Amino acid sequence: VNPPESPASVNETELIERVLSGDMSAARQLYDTHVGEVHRLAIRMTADSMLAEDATQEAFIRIFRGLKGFRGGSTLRTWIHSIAVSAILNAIRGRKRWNTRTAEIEEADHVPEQTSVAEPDLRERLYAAIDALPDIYRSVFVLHHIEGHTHEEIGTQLRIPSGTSKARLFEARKQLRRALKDFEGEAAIA
Amino acid sequence: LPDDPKFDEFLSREAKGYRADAQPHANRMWSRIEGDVRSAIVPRPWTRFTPWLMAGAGIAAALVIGVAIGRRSARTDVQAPTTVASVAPAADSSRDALMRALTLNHLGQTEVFLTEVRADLTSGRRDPQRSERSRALLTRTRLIMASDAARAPAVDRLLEDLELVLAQIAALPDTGTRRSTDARLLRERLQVGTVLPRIRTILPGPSSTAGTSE
Repeated sequence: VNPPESPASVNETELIERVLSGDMSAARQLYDTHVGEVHRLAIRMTADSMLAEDATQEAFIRIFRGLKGFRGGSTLRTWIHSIAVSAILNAIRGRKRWNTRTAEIEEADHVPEQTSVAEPDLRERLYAAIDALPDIYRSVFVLHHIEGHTHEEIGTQLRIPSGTSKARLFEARKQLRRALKDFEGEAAIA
Repeated sequence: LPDDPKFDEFLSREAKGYRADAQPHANRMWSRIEGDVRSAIVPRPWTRFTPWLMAGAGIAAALVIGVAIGRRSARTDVQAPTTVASVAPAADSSRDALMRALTLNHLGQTEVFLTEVRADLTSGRRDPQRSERSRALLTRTRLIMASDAARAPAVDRLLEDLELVLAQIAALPDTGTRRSTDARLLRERLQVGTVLPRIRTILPGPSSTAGTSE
């Protein structure tokens, strides 16, 4: 016996039907409901506000293009999350290509942005250290520690073995620990 | 140690606040994607009939070819062909054809845009919409790259290079010495680089860009 649908899922189904019938106000409603979460995930994974906006936009274009194929096997939020992760990783790969290629053509006087400025506060130092992590470590760190994904789930999303996810998380923690070594004695860490 | 349980606990507790208060520019982003969203969800009148039209066209084509073969074999004593090619259009090939058309249209628009940027950089003219347009084209380039439609390797390479150039234009600073250096590099890239000639090689003809400017 199928459990009765909750009011939220009924509203969600109605909203999707309205969007698929071409109702732009419903599309905007769906966008407004999820844009904060998608954008937050994007900025956490990229640590770059401009790239996060690009990735968010790309994610929503993919979401609306693919909405017809949403079968309700998972919640809409989970489905949107998986598309967002894919779009964000795509944007990160684009940045990687961009960085590699521009390094070849740009002049030597180009100085990369400094993100890890020493902060007196432990939390601020932690956030700066997360910003400074390489993309591959930050992605795994955010998905595991903030989004609560298992290594198996991360492996599926990033198309890497779960062991690689564990290794990247280990390396991320190591780099964060190194960045916070001045605070070793504080009760919050020790 | 990085896997110290207390450190782990500290990270799980404190990391929750990492960029937690980031506020999206929801209206700005929506205005950029609204057109794409509309074209994704608003059904065009003819798309409702597309499967029927395609099936009908396939059957009609099969009938026409069948009748033609029948008449030919009746008129001459030539042996009937032993194989008849399937004429019903496959969904995949029509999707690829649509994607090809979209890609060509996109390349046409990008060519117009890059030509304008090159002229502006040479004359020193400032276009306030330049960054916005570049980012819109960049998003579309990435969507085409992310699609699994069949493409020639040369088109793939061109799209990768376009992504780079468009990102460079979008990131062009408004003022300062950094701007002049970036603008000079970009101008040189557009003047002596191969991106524009390669787009023109791929586009079928001058008419393909007609009416595609944004």
